[in-house]
Amino acid sequence: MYIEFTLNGKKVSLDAQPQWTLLNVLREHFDLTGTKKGCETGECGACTVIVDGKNVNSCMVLIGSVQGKEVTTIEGLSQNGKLNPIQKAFAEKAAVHCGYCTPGMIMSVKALLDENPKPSNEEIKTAISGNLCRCTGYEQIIEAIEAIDWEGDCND
Amino acid sequence: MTNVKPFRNDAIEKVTGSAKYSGDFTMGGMLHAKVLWPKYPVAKIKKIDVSQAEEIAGVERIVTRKDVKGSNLAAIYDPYDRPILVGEEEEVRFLGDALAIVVAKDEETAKEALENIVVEYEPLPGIFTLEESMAKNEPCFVDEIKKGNVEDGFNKADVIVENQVYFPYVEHSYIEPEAGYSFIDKQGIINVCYGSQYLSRHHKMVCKSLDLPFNRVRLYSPYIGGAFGGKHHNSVQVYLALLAVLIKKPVKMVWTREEAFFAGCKRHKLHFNSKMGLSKEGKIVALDVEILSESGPYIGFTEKTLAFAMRYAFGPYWIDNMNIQGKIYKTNNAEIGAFRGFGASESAFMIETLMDKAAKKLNISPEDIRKMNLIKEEQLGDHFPGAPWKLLSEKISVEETLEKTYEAMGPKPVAKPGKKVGRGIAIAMPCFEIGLTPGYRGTGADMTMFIDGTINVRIGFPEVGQGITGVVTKITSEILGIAEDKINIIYSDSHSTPKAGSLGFSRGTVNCGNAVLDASKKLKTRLEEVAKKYLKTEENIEFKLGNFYIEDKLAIEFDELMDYCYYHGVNLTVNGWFEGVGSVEKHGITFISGAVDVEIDETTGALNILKVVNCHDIGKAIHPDSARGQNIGGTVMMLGIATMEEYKMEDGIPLTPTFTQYAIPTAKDIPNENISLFIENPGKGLPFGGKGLGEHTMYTVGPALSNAIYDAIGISMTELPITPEKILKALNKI
Repeated sequence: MYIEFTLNGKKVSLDAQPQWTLLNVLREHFDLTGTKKGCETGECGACTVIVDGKNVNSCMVLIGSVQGKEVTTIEGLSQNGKLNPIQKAFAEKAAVHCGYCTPGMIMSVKALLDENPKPSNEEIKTAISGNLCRCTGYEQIIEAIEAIDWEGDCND
Repeated sequence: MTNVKPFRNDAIEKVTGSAKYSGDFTMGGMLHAKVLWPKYPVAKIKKIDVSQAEEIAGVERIVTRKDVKGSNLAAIYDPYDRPILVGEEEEVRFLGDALAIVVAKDEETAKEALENIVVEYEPLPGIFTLEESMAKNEPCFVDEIKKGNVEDGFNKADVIVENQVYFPYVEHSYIEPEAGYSFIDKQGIINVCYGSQYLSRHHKMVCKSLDLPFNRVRLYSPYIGGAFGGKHHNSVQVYLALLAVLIKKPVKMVWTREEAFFAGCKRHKLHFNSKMGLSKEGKIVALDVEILSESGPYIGFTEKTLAFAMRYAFGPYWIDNMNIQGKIYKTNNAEIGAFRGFGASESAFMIETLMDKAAKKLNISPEDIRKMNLIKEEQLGDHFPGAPWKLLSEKISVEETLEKTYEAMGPKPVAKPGKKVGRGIAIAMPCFEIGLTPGYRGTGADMTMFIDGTINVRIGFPEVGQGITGVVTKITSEILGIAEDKINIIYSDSHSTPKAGSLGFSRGTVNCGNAVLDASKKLKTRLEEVAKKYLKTEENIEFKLGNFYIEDKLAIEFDELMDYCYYHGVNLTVNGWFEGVGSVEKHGITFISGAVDVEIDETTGALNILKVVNCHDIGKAIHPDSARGQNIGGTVMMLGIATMEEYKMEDGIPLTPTFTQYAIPTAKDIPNENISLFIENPGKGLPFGGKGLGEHTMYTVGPALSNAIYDAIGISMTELPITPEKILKALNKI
């Protein structure tokens, strides 16, 4: 089937099989390997991307369902080599250890901040509770999120 | 310092998604491989018929036992006892014994082919519990430590306390499942790229098991998405090398989460039966410990983890009379791997919970009973033959860490209606590896300076997320006075990085750090000697801040000397090396205290972890953010193991095959406060005094939690995980 959608701000299209997941299309068709494969059953959050403003596990999204939608991946956050404020905060606050959960975690944070620019500690914990991290104990991640002065994706 | 990077080396690549992990690479014409695992954990394989599967369009080849030249046996240590592929008329002994590998144009085709391979099994009875194995078999390994006379000790004891401690299987749960790819390069060398914590042993494993020359097989690791001990074991590497030999095309193998769970290794099950005798004043007079460990069908890491459990069974205490017995029994459950803490942290749990039982019985404070029995510096060498400790610090600083821990804990919280609160403490003196064990002796670091002043450092250890590349950058920058952003780290490559040994046992900072320190000093000396020669001076020249100085006066511009080096054949590559601190085969020790405040809901059994403090005398936190990250991250991992994690199996089949059944802590499960504290009493012979840390985060939080529950409800809970259900049972509520 023929699929068209917006991927990181650009119109893209492909001829897809209906059983393909958004995760596999991103990784294999568009070579966007920043979106990680951790479980393929929607349990770990490593494959989180944003579809029409909502964070989703891309392993659970069949490609047909993104027809005409806007998809943002980790590669779409930094513009012209400049970091997004979330990326910058994660780097500065040492919220990155092995880094495998990081892209998905950052996408969940973006979805949160776009809706709620000044979340409480509890709201942060809830928002990232679908993103498993085995290294950090989450503390430095939460500190990074709390340090962000969110005014949208201004890259500097 | 002005030359410090605002971020860790790997941070930018990781936050932008450009960091590549084993499963992220692709090559032209790359094929995809899937393993056929057995349907039964124990069975004789009567027939493997691949004829139908081979007919499927897009299937390149199906590899079976017949295709394996060489011994077909692999393992991390001797003996090599695990088959690479199990063939007809042979037996599978657990669910991770591979029967065939399908190589196809894509994963979907490979999966379809797997379903079309017809295997005839003759299921055989297996052994799936410790009790069954003990009834039917002799232990496959036995060890004991004896000191003094335990019987006499118990006869003299005024009180005796006992506990039974149980640690179930635990899954490492790195977020990146095992993955890799192989190809043959222009020179005909087999390349295997995958996540490894122990490249040198894996190199031996691959070459020996497939009968290949070492220099024709290159293994290397890109970024690794977590390891925690689990990426020591045999996963995709032997299969991928085998496929490269047979197919000679790029092949990728990515395990699913389920494969990572059942075919990956587990933290061992340990059962402790312990008994401690004390005088009425609180002095320990005898300790008797039996440790029973279950291995899978292959020995894996079980012997080594048991050895460390036994050698830490007495904790940080001096005990005159000890009898510590260890036994391993084989089962047909999971293969046992290394896991952060490596047996010794489980013993810390046993001894520290026993100490609180004794304290209560004798009406002594948990703090006083510990201080009274704490080993003294002069006793360290004499504990028992083979005692693994070496004091590299000026003093034993456990009491200092305890004081700081109490200070950070503040007043004990007051219980709300319907709740009980409790506080528990634990202390520990774990070992870290200082280059002296025979298996690891010798770690290298090679360093090259280019004529623009940038530097490449080559180290054998991988970056699993712990931040070794950041530590190496800081040490190099500090010695050479070169800005951190001019330093590049090349890591973990059998064909281009020097020997490192296992990335385990908290050895990265000490061993690699010392080798890098050696290389940095050698490079600095060489640059200064060349400058003296060039300037034909006998005056002392110092290389600092990227230039050459005689007593703070610029002697020569860097570029000018580099031109000289370039045209006059000066070698700016140096080899750093580190073999060990001191002359005795022992491990360095560090000092830790931890405390936990809990709140327990008496109606639901729910456990709310209010506050955790862990204070380590780390010697020197070379990369403070990474050190703190290890401490709080390890704390949450141990709290997960202590309160929620259990990899359950029944008759060799996992009952918790994915993250739905096997839950690990999420952001909502962390303690209200998780505080990491460091004391820095520099260690002798260590890089800037810095000690090992990663494994040590598993020692105090578990027993401190159990002791906090004991304080709250008066029941010592030592069967992990401590779930609300077990708490309610202990309270006789269900």
